[in-house]
Amino acid sequence: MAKINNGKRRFPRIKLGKVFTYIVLAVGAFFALVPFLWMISTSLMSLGEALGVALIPSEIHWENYIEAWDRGEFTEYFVNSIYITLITLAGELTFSILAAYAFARMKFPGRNLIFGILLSTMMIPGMVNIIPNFLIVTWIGRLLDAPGAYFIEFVKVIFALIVLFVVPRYARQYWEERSRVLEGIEGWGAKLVKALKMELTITRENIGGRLGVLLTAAFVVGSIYILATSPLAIINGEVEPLGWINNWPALTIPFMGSVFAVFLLRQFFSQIPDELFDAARIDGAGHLRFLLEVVLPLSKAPIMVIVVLSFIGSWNALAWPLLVTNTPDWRPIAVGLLNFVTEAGQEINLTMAGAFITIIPILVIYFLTQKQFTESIARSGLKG
Amino acid sequence: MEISGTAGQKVRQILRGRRGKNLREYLAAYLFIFPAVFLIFMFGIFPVGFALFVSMHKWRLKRGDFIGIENFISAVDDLAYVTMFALGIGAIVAAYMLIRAVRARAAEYDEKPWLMAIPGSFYAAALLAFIYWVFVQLPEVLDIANKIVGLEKTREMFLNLLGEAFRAESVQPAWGVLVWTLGVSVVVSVAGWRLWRNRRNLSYQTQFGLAGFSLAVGIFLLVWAFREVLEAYALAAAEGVEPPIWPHVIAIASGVLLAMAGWKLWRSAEGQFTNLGFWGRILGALILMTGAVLLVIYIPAAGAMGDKDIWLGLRVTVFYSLGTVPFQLAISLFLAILLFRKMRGSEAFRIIFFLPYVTPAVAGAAVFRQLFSNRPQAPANAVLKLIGIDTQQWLREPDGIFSMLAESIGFTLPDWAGGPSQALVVVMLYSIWTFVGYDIVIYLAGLGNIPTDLVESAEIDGAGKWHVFRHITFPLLSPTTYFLSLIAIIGTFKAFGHIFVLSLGEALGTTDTFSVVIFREFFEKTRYGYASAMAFVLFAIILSLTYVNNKIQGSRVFYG
Repeated sequence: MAKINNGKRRFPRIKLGKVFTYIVLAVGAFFALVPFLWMISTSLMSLGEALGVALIPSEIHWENYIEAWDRGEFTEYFVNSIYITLITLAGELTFSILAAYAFARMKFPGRNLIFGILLSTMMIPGMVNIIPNFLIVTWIGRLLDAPGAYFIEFVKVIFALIVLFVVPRYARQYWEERSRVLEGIEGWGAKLVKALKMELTITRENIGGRLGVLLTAAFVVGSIYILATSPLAIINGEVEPLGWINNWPALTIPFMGSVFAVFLLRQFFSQIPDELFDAARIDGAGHLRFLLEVVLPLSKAPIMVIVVLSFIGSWNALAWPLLVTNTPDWRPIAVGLLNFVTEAGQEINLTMAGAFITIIPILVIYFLTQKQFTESIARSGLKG
Repeated sequence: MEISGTAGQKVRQILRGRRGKNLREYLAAYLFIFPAVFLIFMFGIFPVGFALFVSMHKWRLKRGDFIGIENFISAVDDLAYVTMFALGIGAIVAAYMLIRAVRARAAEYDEKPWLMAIPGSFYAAALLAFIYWVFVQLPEVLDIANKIVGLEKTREMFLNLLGEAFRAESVQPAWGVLVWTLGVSVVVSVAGWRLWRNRRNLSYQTQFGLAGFSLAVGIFLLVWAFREVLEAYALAAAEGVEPPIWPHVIAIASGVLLAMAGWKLWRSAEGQFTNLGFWGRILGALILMTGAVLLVIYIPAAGAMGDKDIWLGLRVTVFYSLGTVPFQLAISLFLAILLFRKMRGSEAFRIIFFLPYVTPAVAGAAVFRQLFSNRPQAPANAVLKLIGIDTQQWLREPDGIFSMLAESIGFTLPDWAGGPSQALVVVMLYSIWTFVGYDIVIYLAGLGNIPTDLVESAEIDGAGKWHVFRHITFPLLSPTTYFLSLIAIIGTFKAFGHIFVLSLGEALGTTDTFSVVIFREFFEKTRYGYASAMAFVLFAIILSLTYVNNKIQGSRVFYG
């Protein structure tokens, strides 16, 4: 009774509170967005206008983007960054999924000790590691040119075999689902329409899964390419010597062992009920099959988190790439933008266009995955 | 062929059957974790030891002479000795704790494991021999890179050089010691196992081994530090001056001891609401404060003769922490509470607030460089002009903002009260802009964990919004606040990317936080040894911050 009365009496006040809330939030949002808005609007101005106090371009200059793109050589930097991200991800995901599974579900002597040691490395600030790592990478780069190239070629072949072994299983699942949906539909046109509809619903409901499909496709193409070239090169002894500095190994291999990824996945894997494993055991499945066919399909969410975080990580990386690259051949986008900003200097309409070009891919990824993304940030934060 | 065939059969036999099943699982697990663990060891754990090695050398691009702790002394002066003594004593205390744990367990199971100290001490010796070997071997292996400059690199040559490095003259004694201690410790350990069949035998052995190791390390550190101090006194005496190293060591040690004792007293008296408890608390607080005052006076005094860059970097970092963390947390808590009410559009607001966090640091910093440019038409200056303030230099202004504010109303402040430079204030703004979104997300998750019935029942009891916040929401959020403040404070010491991009030459280094100072020392001045020593100073600061934070805040956080 009292509650209802209260509600009636307070009705106008609550509304006022709501208006106040919206105003405060809008002010906050304004401050959060101002740099973006100013960047976009300046990037569309002519130089003279950009140097003035104008807020909105009087005439829209799309060509700024083309000029910034050409002068900043963004094509090269984009391709580099995408390569670096994909290579890092391939290694990071494979290694940390395997390790996290072992830490979560297998028993072996020293399990907790090793995991504890791994966790304690998260305390070490990057500045302690960056100097010795630079020395290690230059050392390896100077020494292992020839033998290291053979070793890496060998690893690539194994990795390609694993990818080509794993992917068909998922493809089969997908194909079965597809034929189940298309059963009883006559005519290829109707089938196509139905299939497209199915694709659309899946995409809308599970954008992370779709990104995963794209990623898998990229890995499959890469694996076929590796299998077509590497074994012959190894047999014929024609593997190109491979320096580490100014090349992809220095930019990717140190980041393939990620404590954070192992930790996140282990947390998730250990929540999977034991009954599932026992059932799989009775059906004759070993650890690897259980991992591939039961655990992985259940773990799309944490895997997506790792994908997005390491995408952002390698897109933003600055200190390490500055150290290990001194030619543009393998420089990632952040270093490229820094160079462009320094070089284009006062032509701020161009530098703003360059900055926006760099941000776009991150924005796309963020908007596509923002729900899982914020959720997982929150979860990892609360646990850590 | 024959032999390998039988050996293969034997291996297969071992791996077969029920007992083999465990072994198979172990093998598979080790295979699973190998790649990740190897990489993390290679680029995450080994580098720490390597950095210690580098920091004890004169190392500019190439390795120079071994100079012991000289780099640390030129970085933080007498604090280096103090830290060495502290680490030595810490290692001895750790050894004592391990022995105490062994004693407690022995009492629990009523057994006498003391003979296992013999294999334990051999373990410790083997571990020490291993470290010695690494220390001697590393230079030889590193030198291979210099030997092959300009030669064609082949597998054979590399393997030959590697073999040579392992057989080098200087490494021979280390190999001898390592092999002997290892062999003897394996033999003694097996003998110990045979003589006393006990499930806990091996873990007793390991504990004794660890205790022996940390005891040896502690004694080694203490002796080393003692000799270094004596040497420094001898050197100074030759010049006819008396360095105040011992007074510094003693003052800081007594400061730490007093602070710890006061803390203990305070904590133990806290639960008692008697007169004695009350006076105990007062006394504890007094002792704690005396210790803290000693520390506050003597730590800067002991480090005063160290590197000026480090102190500047630390000052900047402290300003940066104080200027970002509280504001960031307050703003995000406020916004999170507003957002937490389910209403139309809160999702969209959350997405907007989070945007700056995912923006690449270089791009965001490039925008801020233009927003706060020194051109009169730049947005920040244009806004100031509207309210009648002159054009500011922003990111190019090395003067402190407090002294600038004071000057504008006709005062002159002394140098030490100048506050953070105007350039640093812009960096702080950038930092707040970036991290508010992250903090909001974490706060929202924390708010989601607060049981709604608590808030509802309080509202039924007539509590106003402020009271609900003050007495329910805020206390229940304290773990989240604690987590965020820890992350944020440590983050300010690690902060690099955006500060590196935002710092311009005209700001005269007033924006360079500690990490940036280290990076410049390494990247621009190529003083690898010295930069490594500085990085360890940073590591020590982060560790002690975490420790102190855990002690203080950990006890005040309410985990409901």
